[in-house]
Amino acid sequence: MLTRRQFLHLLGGGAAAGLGGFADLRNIAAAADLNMKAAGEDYRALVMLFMFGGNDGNNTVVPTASGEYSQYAAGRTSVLALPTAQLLPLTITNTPGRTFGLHPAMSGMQGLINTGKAGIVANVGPLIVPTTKAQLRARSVPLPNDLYSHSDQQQQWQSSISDGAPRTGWGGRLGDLVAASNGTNRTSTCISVTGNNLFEVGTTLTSFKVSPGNQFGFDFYKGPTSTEPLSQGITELMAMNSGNLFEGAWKDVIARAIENQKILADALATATPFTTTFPNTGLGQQFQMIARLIRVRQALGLKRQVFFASIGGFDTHGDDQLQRQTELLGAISGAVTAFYNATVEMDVANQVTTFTASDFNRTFRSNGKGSDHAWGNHHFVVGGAVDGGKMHGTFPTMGVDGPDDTGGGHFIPTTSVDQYSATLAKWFGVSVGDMPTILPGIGRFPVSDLGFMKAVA
Amino acid sequence: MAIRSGISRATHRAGFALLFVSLSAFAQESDFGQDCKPVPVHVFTNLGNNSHFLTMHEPQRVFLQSSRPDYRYDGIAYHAYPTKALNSVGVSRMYSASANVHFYTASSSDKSAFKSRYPDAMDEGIDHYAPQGMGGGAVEIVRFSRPNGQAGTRFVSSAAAAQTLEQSGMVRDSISFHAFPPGMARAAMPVSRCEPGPVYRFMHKQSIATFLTPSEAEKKFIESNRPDYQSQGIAFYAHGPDATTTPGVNRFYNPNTQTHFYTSSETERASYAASGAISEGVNFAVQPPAKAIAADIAKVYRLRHPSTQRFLYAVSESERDNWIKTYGFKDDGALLTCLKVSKPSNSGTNKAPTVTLAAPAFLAITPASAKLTATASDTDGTIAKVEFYNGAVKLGETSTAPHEYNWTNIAPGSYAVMAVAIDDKGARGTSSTLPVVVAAASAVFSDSQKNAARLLTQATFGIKSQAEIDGVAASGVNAWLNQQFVLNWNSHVAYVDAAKAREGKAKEEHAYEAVWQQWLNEPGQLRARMAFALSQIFVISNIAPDLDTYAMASYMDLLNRNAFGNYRTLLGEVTLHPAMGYYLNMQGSKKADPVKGTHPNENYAREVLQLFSIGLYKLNTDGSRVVGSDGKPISTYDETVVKGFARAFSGWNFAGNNTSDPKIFDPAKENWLEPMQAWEMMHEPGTKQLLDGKLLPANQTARKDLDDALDNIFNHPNVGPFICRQLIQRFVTSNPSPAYIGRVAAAFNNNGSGVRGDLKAVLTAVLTDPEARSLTGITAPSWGKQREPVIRFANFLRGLNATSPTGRNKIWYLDDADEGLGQSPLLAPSVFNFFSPNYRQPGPLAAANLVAPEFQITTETSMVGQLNFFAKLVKNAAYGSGDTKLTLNLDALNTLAADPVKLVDALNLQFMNGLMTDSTRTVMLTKLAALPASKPVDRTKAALTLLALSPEFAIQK
Repeated sequence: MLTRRQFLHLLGGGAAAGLGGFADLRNIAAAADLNMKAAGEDYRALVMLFMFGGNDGNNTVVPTASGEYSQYAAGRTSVLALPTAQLLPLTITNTPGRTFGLHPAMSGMQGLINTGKAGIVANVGPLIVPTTKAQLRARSVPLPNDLYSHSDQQQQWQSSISDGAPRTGWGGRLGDLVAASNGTNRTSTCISVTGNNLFEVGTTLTSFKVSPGNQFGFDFYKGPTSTEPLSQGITELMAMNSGNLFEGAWKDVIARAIENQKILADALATATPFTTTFPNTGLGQQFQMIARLIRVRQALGLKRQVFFASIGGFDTHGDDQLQRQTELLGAISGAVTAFYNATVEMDVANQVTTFTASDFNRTFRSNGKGSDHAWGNHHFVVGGAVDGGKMHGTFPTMGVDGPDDTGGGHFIPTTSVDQYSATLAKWFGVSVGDMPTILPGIGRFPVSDLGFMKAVA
Repeated sequence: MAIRSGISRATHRAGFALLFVSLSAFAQESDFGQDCKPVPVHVFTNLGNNSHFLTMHEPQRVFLQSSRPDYRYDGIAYHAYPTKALNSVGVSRMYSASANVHFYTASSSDKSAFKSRYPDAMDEGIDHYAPQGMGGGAVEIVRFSRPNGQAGTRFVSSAAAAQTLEQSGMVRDSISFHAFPPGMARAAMPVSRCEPGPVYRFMHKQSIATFLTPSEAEKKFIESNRPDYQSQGIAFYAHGPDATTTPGVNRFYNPNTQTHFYTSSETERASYAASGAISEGVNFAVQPPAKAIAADIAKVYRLRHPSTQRFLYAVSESERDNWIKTYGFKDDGALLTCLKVSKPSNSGTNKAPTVTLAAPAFLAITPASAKLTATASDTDGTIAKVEFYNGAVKLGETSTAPHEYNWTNIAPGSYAVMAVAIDDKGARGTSSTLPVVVAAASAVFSDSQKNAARLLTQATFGIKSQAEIDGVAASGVNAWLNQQFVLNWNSHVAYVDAAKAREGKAKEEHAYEAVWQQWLNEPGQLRARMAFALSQIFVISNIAPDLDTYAMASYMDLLNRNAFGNYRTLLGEVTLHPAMGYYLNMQGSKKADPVKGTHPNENYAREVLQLFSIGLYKLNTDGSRVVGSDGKPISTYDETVVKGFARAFSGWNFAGNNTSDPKIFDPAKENWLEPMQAWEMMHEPGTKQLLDGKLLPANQTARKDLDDALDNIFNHPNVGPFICRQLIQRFVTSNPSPAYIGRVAAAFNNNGSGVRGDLKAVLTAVLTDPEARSLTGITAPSWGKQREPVIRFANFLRGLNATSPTGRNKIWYLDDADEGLGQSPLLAPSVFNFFSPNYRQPGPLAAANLVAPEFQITTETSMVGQLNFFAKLVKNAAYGSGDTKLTLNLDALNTLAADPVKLVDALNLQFMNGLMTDSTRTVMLTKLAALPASKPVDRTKAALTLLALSPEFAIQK
């Protein structure tokens, strides 16, 4: 593991030695090629992909065994049911007797699952404690606050806190924990390529926002050492103390933007391009930027990173649900697949794990056109370290008002967000002792490791 | 020029189109400069049009007084330097024959403006030199124009004179330049350092006599109008007339002998005047500088013809001898001593010293003192002394190192200081000039001005002028509100209609243009702000799904129509508006179908409760949460209630269809302008569980269920605090006190006449609340809000008087965070708007338990995007292109930019409500003063760029 300073030192040392000869040149080249993984490099990154609005998981992963498909088709009716022929077959290895198909727009994801590079975690959602339908009916267990509300469920997924007003996210708390290992550029521990989010808010650390369009820097600012009056004025304005907290926050964002410009833009300039082609979509750009940032991790001296990407538009109440979900899932499949391929190209596929999250599932039953807000949902975990090709957790029974349905088609989660997060956190390197700090509610569930991540090699 | 009859007395009177040669070549390095004091500049009134004529040339004054009764001599206008002085600027005279007016300015843009107004205008050159900035007692010379576009200008140096002119109906233009006041005692006038200028010589071919003038205008006039004169070029160099320091050369004209006569001798003056000659005053001066050596000196010999009694002036011995021989002149014995050249001939042998100066750039304390420290060295000698200058004014000198000068009692203003080092052989080296700005105490604005500006910032899309602020300060808050409440708005639908007629079809962009037209141009600003605020609570968005152009325009009309109306009416119209129906899926939502297993759409039902009316938790009137016996907040509703409202809202679709035909319900023909209509057979017939235990009976009509359901919402005690807090956040501050929310919510609950939901009463309470109006409360660290990005943009466009050729705009998509503002009307990412009223910005704000809604879209990336956006706006001084290009008018600011204090103060009031801190002021003044005064546009643009990112603009307090 090299820090940025060591990196520069190495380059300078080789040149200063001035010995010439092929051997020496080769040494310099090797040292400079930090875009490739160094032997034994200790690096891990988690990427949360948030699907804003509540993805209809019922049409994302569909049971295809005849009995279960019939229940699915009956419950969803002709309004929403996808024909079997369109579903992309999955070779799920751990659910004997139950077969599944993937949404037709997700061929890339299909390939990742069927080659064991991605897994599915079924029926995940916020819970305070394990909850059965009987307990729900009897109101004998506490339930998450404000179920079915977009804003609140988004926050619960991002914070893994469902019984209070969350001020930090679990990615931010992870960041607080590992920031020290990232040295001088610890502020790059949590990076969002899609704006502010609660997930990456820590107690001491907040995420850096990076433009997926590679837009760095103020056109009109020439840096803190410039003697040009306008630049000096900006530097001096930013250095002033403000008694007003809003003014302070305003300057803080500008200062961070300038820092961002200084550190990341310099580092990214050294990133070699990928052979992998990213799709020309908003999400494709976001994942390409994450890949580029991972590319320069060694120049920045980073060992642990948390990324946040997102795509919106999943709140499909209306009759454009099928069309819209096709577009959105297609974008996800394309971007995530390209991103996985880029991690392979960088030889860090086993070090980088992408996982999905969303407000909630949508009602199994239709409102006549689209579907409304529901609860437990199915998610993807992607990366070389994933125990892939499998259905983790418990896929619910499809029947309307069946054992998993609160009524009207809201599946009660059988896996909690806490457990889903804890499994990822453990892989990231969180010790048993630190786990309650990252996920305060994890102790209420019998299992904290769902096993969908392979042990770290 | 009109006064060219000056030469009429058959002799060499070349009128006084005085085009003094530009002396810029001497500005820095001429070493023949010498101490000089300002001289009077005389003022005449052109009785034909009440316009001013100014001149510093004595011959001109004498001629006008004696020969032009159409000009009234008004005495001394002010004092200025006769030739180029240190840090002075030339005041040129322009003349338009067609308008018969003279015009004086030190600015090239002024000249261009005069020329474009009067194409026949001639630049008559520099008449005198004005000091740059204040200092040494200089005052502002204010230019006035005649009203109603009449030709003519007047120039005054005192506030009293300015007031008199204003009362007489003259229009104040701007500050023209600086000069020393007319009443100033000569002894009190500051000493500067002036450079010598050329003196031209002519010989009259028939009479054989010499005519000398320092005026290029006179020279040019003679060359083009008097073929009887032969030009002899530059005779010598001389300083301007300054009788106190140098002997003045008096010009006489003797009508008997028809000849000019020049002398610096008092005795000759007296005797020549006694012989009947007319004194035309001192024309130039002679005094060879101390350091001039023989090679630099021009000896000017006077020759007199024994019979004609005419005079020739020869500049060399050979010329003298030749003329004596050729024309029979005699040596008159009187010798003028002038300069042969403008630069010393020995400059190549003795190297000039070098000097640098250090001075504080900004002084916030008044009266201010500054220590000026010079570092001087000389490679081939020693430093004899160092002189310190403020502009053209010599402050003092010292001959002992360290070379320092303590400048004390500096009045507020902008100054340019420099040091001049003189070595043991008299060679001079000058430092570059340094800006020194002394600010007035920061309380430059009255509390009533600040509060008026605050109100306009809170309740409009931008302050257009200081006059607007003064108007509100005079009338008071309530009067302004009452004025605004009766102002109407221009229909957005009508705008789209017109655009459609013009361009062939309605496009979504037209809906955005209509919004910006209203924001930028309409007088009903409060209505516009309220409609925008409501659009951020009752959100529709064209991000997804795509909305019809007319749907958006009609929805904006709805919000404008109800902006000062009743919340219940607003809620009803919003609920049935097809745009909202389409956006949140109430349009086309039908009763449950047991066969298909479908249920009525829950989208609108959920969001109308969570976002448009009551929120998730029971609230006290002051906005705080009601807490149950378990210490936890109490939910306002559960899933049963959401389903109940969804059922109550079922059965509605587009107007204009046959509502008795179930087949037409889905799909119904679109109609984006009229409220939705009910298909009774599609309406859920069963009971509906509403809020607080209210159960709607089965089998009511769709309309009855809708009205009952909306009444149920409207009468919930949460509505007042829930809606009022958000309105306060949109207009005034992000974290209003519970008491403030309580007072506004009380107005919602009862407007004083027993009416609930009166939005006019609510808005009045929001904007007149003591918390909103107090200037002391705003100093709390928790006070304030970020101005929304689109409002900041509107502030710039309105405040800088942006206009386009067609009066229209093409402001469309600003929501891109990389290139735009991260916000754009009608383009929120979801019904949750661009930001949540409860967003917490990590860091000190969140630690202080404060919300900061607008910071949700303020990230390291969006900050780069939006500040680049503003920088580009300022750089181009425009937004857009073609016939909708909105061009900023920076003229007024450019005029102020000569004095950074004036520029910054103007921006402070208009864009920061007069609340700029001393430290920000220091930074801005220092940096603006560091930019050259000769480039006011650079200063203005730098100031606006700093303004866009400065905390005091971005954060509204």
